[in-house]
Amino acid sequence: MIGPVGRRVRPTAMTAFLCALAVILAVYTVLAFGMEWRAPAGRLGAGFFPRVIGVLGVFLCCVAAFRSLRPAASRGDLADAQRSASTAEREVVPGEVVHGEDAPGEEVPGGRHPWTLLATVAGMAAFLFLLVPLGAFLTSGLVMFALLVMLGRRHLVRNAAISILTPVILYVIFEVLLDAGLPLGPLPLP
Amino acid sequence: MDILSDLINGIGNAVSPANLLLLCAGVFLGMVVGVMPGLGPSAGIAILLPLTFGLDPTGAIVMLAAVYYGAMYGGTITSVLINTPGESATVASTFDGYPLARQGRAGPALVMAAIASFVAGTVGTLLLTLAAPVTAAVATSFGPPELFLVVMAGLLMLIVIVGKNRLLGAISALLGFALATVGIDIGGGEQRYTFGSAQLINGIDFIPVAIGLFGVGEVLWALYNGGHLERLQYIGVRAGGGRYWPTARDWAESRWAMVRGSLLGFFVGVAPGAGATVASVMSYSVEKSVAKKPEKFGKGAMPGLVGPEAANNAATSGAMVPLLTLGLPGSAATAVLLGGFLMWGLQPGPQLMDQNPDFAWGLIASMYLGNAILLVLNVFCIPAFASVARVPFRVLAPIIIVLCVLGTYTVNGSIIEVGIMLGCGVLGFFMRRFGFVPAATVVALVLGPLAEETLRQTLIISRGSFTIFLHRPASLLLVCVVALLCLLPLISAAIRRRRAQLRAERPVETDPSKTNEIEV
Amino acid sequence: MRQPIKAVVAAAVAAMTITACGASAGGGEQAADNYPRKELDWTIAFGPGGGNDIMARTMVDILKKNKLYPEDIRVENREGGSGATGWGYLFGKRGDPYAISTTSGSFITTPLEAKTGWTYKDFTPVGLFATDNAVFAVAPKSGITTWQQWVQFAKRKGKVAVGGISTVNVDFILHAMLAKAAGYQIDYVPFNEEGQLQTSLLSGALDAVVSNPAELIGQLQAKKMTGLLFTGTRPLASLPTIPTAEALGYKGLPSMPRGLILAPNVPASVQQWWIDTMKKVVATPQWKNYLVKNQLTEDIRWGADFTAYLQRTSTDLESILRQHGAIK
Repeated sequence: MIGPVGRRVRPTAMTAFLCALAVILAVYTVLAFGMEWRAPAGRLGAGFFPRVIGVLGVFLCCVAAFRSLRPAASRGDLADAQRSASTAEREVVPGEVVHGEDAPGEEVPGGRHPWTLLATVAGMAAFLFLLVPLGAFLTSGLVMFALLVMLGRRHLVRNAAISILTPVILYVIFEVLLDAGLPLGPLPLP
Repeated sequence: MDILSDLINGIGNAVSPANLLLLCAGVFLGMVVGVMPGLGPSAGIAILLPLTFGLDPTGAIVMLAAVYYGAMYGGTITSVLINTPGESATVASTFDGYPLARQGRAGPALVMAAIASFVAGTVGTLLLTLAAPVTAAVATSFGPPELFLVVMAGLLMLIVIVGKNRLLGAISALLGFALATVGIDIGGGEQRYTFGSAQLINGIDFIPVAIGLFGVGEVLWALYNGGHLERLQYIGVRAGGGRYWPTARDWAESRWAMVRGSLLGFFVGVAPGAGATVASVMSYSVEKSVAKKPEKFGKGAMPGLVGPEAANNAATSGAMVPLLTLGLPGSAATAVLLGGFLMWGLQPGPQLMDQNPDFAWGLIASMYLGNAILLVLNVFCIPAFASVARVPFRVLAPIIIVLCVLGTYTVNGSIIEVGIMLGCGVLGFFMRRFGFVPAATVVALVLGPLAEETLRQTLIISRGSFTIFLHRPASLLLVCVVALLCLLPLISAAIRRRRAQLRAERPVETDPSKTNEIEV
Repeated sequence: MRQPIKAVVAAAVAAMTITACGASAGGGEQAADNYPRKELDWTIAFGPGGGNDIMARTMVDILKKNKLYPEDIRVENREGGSGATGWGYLFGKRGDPYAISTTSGSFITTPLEAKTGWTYKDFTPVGLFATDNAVFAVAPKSGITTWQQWVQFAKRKGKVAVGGISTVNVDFILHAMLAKAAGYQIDYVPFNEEGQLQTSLLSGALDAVVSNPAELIGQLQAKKMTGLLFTGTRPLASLPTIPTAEALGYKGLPSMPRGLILAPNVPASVQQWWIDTMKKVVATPQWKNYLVKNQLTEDIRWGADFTAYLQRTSTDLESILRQHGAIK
């Protein structure tokens, strides 16, 4: 693994993420120190494991954040940093049509789509807040339609059909077949 | 031979036309439930349990065993197709199953998984029939010290899963451990990190975290990379006749993985608590350490899917040993089954097999038949399931998100869990983006609380002394096994190096199956 | 592109309007003479297959079979947070005469250990039908067959390791009370699951456990465990040889309530309708059979008597748990 070389370094997106994790784990650790270390009669207290986990976690995040710093001189892309610091777990698979992990030095075939990502996350948030008041099936249909339109604008009719059909199928599976108790909302469903 | 005739009798009972119908219905329903992200075997049994109250006990248990297997296989389908495990025991199936699907090999992967389940089911049933009394004795030697050691063995496997990326892997596991400490501390009744919310006092469930990190995280990652663009196909489709059926090479690569996974799964499954999860993760790591090309693991290696699948299936049979011979549930799903026993007016306990032989053997037989039907059903269904891969990703993505949300909500009817799931989806995206290891997080989340609980129980019993692990025969044995497991990757690396040397000296191709045998 | 977004907004607005109407139509006061007129929403605060679930489903079955409730009954498992989710749901149904739930031990203990926002006082009581008592058991390997032998053994050993389910629970209290009264010392080992608790005893890691007779009966009958004491007032019908705590000289051991509650602030007429109906239910042979099968002790108290019982049990538990530092 490559540590930061040279004096001037610049933080990467990964550094930011690791710092955020470190802060969260630091809060976790502070709370852990509010719990007992040892309970009466030599037992391990409630705080024992959280303290170990927290201290270790903050330390490792800091180390990883430090390593993720890139030398300011090389304007090399993030992908490079990732690959060196990253794993064989989900790497480029030979014969794959499009692969997830970015291949260094190569243009990603699909490009980056941060706005699509943000819009999808927003759609998920809307799902979360509307699920109970609107009922599972109405919300599913609406969110699906919104997402489908965002992802492929040309097939309006097909999109509409899918966003009506899927909730209907799900209704049959969850409510009729399994009686699973999803919120029904205001729709006059049997 | 008495036992075998019992089994044959049991099969005779189970194959009455009515029961066969229930069996088919159960497998099918189970599969339908299982392919809903979030709904695994225990949720499947729980949801369908009320349906069986009208049936006689044997019919009911036949159906539920079928549901169990169907749901388990359903979880494998989602693990392979959309990277979303249905329960902790199928997490290991995503490691290589999903990469296989991405390469357009969803069909062969699913068929091999079904075959592995069938083989493991056969091995498990035979062992259950022949060795139940002996293994029951093993089950009663499991106190907190032994359980702790089994869980430690499972956690050690994290090292293998994490692979080369130790630092980020360790952080991923620690995140899982941290999530696991949320809830009431069983030791003293103190609340940890619940911030006063009554919903959190039972802790954070595995399901929303796993669906978020794997399923939704993967969808977000794919969209970020333009998986929805029409000119790209995010999931590969392979044309031609090789689309659904495994090749001779798949078979040659993974037949021993099946056997190893089955044996490992059965015996680990006997341990109460986390049998199937530990078994599948262990099997993955065993396969990776004995493989000739461990670098292929995680990128679509068939044995990496087949081993864990066989292990989690055989573990199910293993978990039936304490349930049937002792009346002690070994897993969440068998605990629900135990509740079912009571509802059908059966008294679970050591006398169950003597007092209700029809029922007990009916259960064992239907587990076996369930596997067989699953295999047959699959032959017809796999083209349908595998065709999911042909749906354009821009249509698939919203469907997956909707399924994940509804599936999560259905488990406990909790909107907070849906929130946790979506939050974990975003976290999963970043973990994927920066090369973390989500699998380590979920395994740590499942095994962490067990490790903490059993260690603390052990230390209360021994009054703070660690020598208890050496004083009890069973735990001494397990200490040795754990030590061996720690050394296994080193040993296998040494063997590989040695073999490479040999090959360099004498460049003759050796038969792959034979070398595998030697390694085992 | 504009068009679809507009459509979505319009649909959302329309849907919200419908929600608002729907919400105001539900709930409300009903007069007794036209009760029941709607589907009953029966909450089970635990998962299927558990003790609470079996009791609830048995009741629903009796209500349906004997046509005691003329409308549909929708049974829903709302598990999570040791009952906090399910009873929290019922708590939110304030004034709704069609929301109902069964209680078990956690109905008292969960509010003691967590901020649930409700306690037993908030709900409209229907009645108590039975109590859960516990059996004190050891492994046969120990050679102990009577309670006296156990006390001797425990005193000789200095401190014994005893197990039960969780800490804020009646199991811990029973161990603590018995040890104090008999004069021996314990290390209490809490477990999360019944299966692990029982294997721990069988593996020799624990000296003794307490658990519900329904959980232990198989082991006891097969002589894989030896029962030394039963906390009920009368001996168990299926295991009459196990002496009761009272016969051994221990009084005032707590038990756990198996009862029925309605949402808060339900009209008295509805409460009375349910008391009258449940009187018929508990008289059926199917109910008696359920009690025997599940080793429950019948203990019937209606309405305010039920609340009084809950209050006594809850304050007892709270003071004992506080003494032992299990809650703050």
